[in-house]
Amino acid sequence: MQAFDYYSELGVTRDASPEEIRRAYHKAAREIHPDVSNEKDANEQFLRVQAAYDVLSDPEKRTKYDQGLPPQEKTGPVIGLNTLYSRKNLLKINEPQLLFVLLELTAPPNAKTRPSPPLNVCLIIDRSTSMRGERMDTVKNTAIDLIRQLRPEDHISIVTFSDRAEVIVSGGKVADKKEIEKKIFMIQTGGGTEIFHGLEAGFFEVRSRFSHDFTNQLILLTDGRTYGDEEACLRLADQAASTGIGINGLGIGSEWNDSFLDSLATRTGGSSVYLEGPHKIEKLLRENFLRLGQIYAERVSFEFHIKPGIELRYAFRLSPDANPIGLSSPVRLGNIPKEPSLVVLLEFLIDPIVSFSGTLPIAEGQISMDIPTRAVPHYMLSMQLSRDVSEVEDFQPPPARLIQAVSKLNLYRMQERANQFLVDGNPEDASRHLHNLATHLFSQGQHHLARTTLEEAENIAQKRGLSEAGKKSIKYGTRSLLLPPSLTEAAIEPSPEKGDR
Amino acid sequence: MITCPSCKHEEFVGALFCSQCGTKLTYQKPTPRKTASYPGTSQTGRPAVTPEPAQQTPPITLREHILALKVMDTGAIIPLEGGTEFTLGRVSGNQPILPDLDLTPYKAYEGGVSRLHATIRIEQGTITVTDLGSANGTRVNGKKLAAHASQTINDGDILTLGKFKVQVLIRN
Repeated sequence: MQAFDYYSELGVTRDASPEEIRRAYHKAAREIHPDVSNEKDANEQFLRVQAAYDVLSDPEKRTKYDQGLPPQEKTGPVIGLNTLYSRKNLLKINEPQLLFVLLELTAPPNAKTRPSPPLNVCLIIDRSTSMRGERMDTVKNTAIDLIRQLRPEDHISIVTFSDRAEVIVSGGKVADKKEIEKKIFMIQTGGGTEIFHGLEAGFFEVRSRFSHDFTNQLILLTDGRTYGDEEACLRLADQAASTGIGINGLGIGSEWNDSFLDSLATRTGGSSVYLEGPHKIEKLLRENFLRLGQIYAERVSFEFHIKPGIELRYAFRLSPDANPIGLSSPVRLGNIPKEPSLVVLLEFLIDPIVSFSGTLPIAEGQISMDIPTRAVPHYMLSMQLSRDVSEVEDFQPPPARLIQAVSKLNLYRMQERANQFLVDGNPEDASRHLHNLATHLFSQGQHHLARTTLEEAENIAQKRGLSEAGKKSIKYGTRSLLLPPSLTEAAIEPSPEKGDR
Repeated sequence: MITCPSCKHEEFVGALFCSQCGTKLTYQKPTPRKTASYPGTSQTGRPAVTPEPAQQTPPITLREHILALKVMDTGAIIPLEGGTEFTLGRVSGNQPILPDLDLTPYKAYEGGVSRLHATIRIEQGTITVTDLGSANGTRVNGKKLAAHASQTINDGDILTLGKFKVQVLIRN
């Protein structure tokens, strides 16, 4: 390793505030303390962090140290952060108002040439009776294919579940791929769907090998509804999130509970996708896997204080995948891939501003993450969202990227509202929202999705109900419109050089 | 609160789109649009065929057919090219999504053409027209299409959007 400097040792930038330095030190100390870390050089690591903190926490020593640093020695920023607001200022008015904020977090260009962190991934496969046949066959074939592409340093475990869970392949480095393939091949279907058992077994597998230098993720593949253990699953998801393990859900067919899978994923910063049928399994499972192999920063989390009277009303990740994210601090934003950027859209609702002038803090805090390729993976950025308050609006057209994001997200939300109306027993409004949505979809050239939407609008008008398949198609269809066009196709093709590893 | 100009739904100050009908709300200052301004009576009578904003797929060039619309009132010819899909309508006011083909210069408003009226699509050798839930309906040779229904069209067919009539010209 090249001569380290104290800043990178702590994972902070050169302009870090004393508070950031203190936090980074505490965080690092907790993680690499020789008492808790089982790495060989924990002692040495700890001493280095200690030395860095001794210097940087003392203003005098720090100034002296800074003077000794070679100027512009750094290769560039660790993370590019771009913040776009929908409005230049807020209005002093006696009614609530909205503010949209688009956050873009980008890996530095040199990240592309660095190797990706090793995987610590557990594939959790539903082997209930309904998976029998083409579904399970496709899952097996895809899993075997993905195993073949793993690097020697990757860790993979495989859990199957029905009414109970079995660990088919227990992690550890991928030594004997043939043996793993054989085990996958022997998976039999049968039984019910109890997700908690599978999730728990998978969680233990990944947790036992958890490392900040790894990509730690669970991939859950299911085609059914779990009964009675939703709460337990969600608690486990929270535990996974605080450990730093992401959960990604892939739902096959129309029977599974989409809002449940969404909340599982959302709590951990993971993703959830809909596979209409077996033909989509290969494509999306592969895509999910590839994405995990291209990560620059993991466990990106936005921790903030928000003033009373301001509410984070809606939050959505637009890139690298389209998924809802949580609303309360800390918000798990997901991962930053090498490319493209991690992009999230936040919508704040602000109570009437009656007697305030100056700059109103909207949300203040920091974005923290783990960057496995750095000496000390933990890294923090301070994040202050604020707007000036004035009597008149200094109108400027919002940035085009933000408008486009809000426009597409609005289509997704029209679908959400239609569902809400249906739940509230108002089929007329539900049907009308879907009709409006269909018109927009038609005019955007999304004919197939538009027709499905229209059919469901008619279903509601006549039978007062929505088909499960239609509901999911509309939900995940409008969601996929949010992705940049290049991503919808390009990311899915298996990269040719991967197979040679 | 601000009121959606299209469906009168009330939205919070700062909202960018109507949550009910999807109309874009903040066009306080007109921003330049992609729609080419119609060159009036001069030049060749080429219509403003605009690329769809944020197009999902690159347009596939049309090889098999040459497609055009002839405006019955004036005899003007509007070629449809550079795509496989053309949304017909007119541009007016705060419109979230613009049609590919703006018929305003052909007195579309007076003819009762909706902002997003119908789509003409070229698909595997057949050409279809789909009504987009327009206010005054779409007719093919006088026969009314149900909202959002598609129908195949052939050379010489008369399309009526509201009262606005065009003849379909297809050359193989």
